[in-house]
Amino acid sequence: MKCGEFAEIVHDLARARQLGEVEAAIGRAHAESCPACGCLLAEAQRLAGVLREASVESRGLEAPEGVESGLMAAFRAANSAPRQSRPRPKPKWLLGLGLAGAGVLASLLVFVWLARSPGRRPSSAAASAATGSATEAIAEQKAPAGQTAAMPANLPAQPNTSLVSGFVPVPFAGGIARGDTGVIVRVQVPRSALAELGYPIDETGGEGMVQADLLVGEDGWPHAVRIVR
Amino acid sequence: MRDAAEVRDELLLERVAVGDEEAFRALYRRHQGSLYRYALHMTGRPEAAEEVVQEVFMGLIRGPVKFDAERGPLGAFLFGIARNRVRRLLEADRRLVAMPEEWPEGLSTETDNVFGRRTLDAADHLARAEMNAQVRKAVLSLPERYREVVTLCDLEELAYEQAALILNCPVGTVRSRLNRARGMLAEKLTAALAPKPAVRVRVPRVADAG
Repeated sequence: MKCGEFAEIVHDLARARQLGEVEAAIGRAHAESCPACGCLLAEAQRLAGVLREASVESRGLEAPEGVESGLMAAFRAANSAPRQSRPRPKPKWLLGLGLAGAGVLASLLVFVWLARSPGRRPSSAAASAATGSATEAIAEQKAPAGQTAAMPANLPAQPNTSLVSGFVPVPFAGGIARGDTGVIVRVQVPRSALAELGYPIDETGGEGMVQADLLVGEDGWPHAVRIVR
Repeated sequence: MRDAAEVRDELLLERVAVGDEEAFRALYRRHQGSLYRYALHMTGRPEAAEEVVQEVFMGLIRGPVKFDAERGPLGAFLFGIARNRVRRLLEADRRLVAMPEEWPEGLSTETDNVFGRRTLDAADHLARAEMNAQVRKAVLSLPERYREVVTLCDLEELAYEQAALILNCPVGTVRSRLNRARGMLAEKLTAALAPKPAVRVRVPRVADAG
């Protein structure tokens, strides 16, 4: 065996695996007769040892328990909703949007409370600032959320806008019960994001932004969506 | 020829497809550990490893998987999904390939005490911890293609054939990459691997109380 050939098998030789008995014996004989290759084998054996040590040390590592419980919940949800065999995880931007919606709702409540309190009537500028705290919201209206799709029909559209569709419930948002209240938040979103929300959008329409109304529930999550032109 | 564990995996997967929660749990518990460690060694970030494990099993929840038992065991299939996810994470942010500030808890030498009936003294314990940290750092600094063979074959101790299945390459490629990777590791760990003279630690005698 030549030193170049030995260098190719030295790490396997150090681990006493993946090599046939004959090849291993030839390798060991070469290491004994060649001091340089003997040193190489000793180093490879030390490397194998520390890697083995690191392997043993990390053997007990597992994903945190929360991962299992979250997955089990997702599994149950997916199997209790046969209509939707592919649960969609909520996109991260949706959480931001939900929080923005919750902020708008809180601003509205503060505004109504201030307006009803004698001597505390805010100026229109202050009201505008309060309701404008959600940067993405173009307009918002307090609305009863009694009906999901029918509800928006009697809500006014913004000037220079027209409704293109009725509200479509967002999958896995928990639905909207009669008597619930919510806030309509107008946003600019990519068409693909509407698809994420379960909106039956024409995939061939290309990318680009569309204007949409989100019906944000009191839990801060969008419960329904409609397109606005 | 498939072994019993592989057949069991396939049966569990069939039951998962019809909504069997316990089958899903059993599959998760059988495979999550190795997938988590693989992702952790590849990214160096516990939260990224969690995300990878979650994505792999969310794939099973989402619907029919493209698993073909003729092409290999379910474990290799899941590793393949994890690998794709890890690569996307690494591509998204190359800065992730850095030594984590804190490695997850659980890395200790307690196994020695349990199985080896040995008690390590504090100095030995510290020396091992230091060496393991150096090894992890060295592995993380390897280029991705070498890091993954070391992770699979040396840290997860998979056979070359299993690694080849996961990496979708010939066994010879695994062997040559591994040889190169180990050579690079040996260079990076030269000082740590140098034979050290025996050090005698003097332990102060504890004075008798009273």
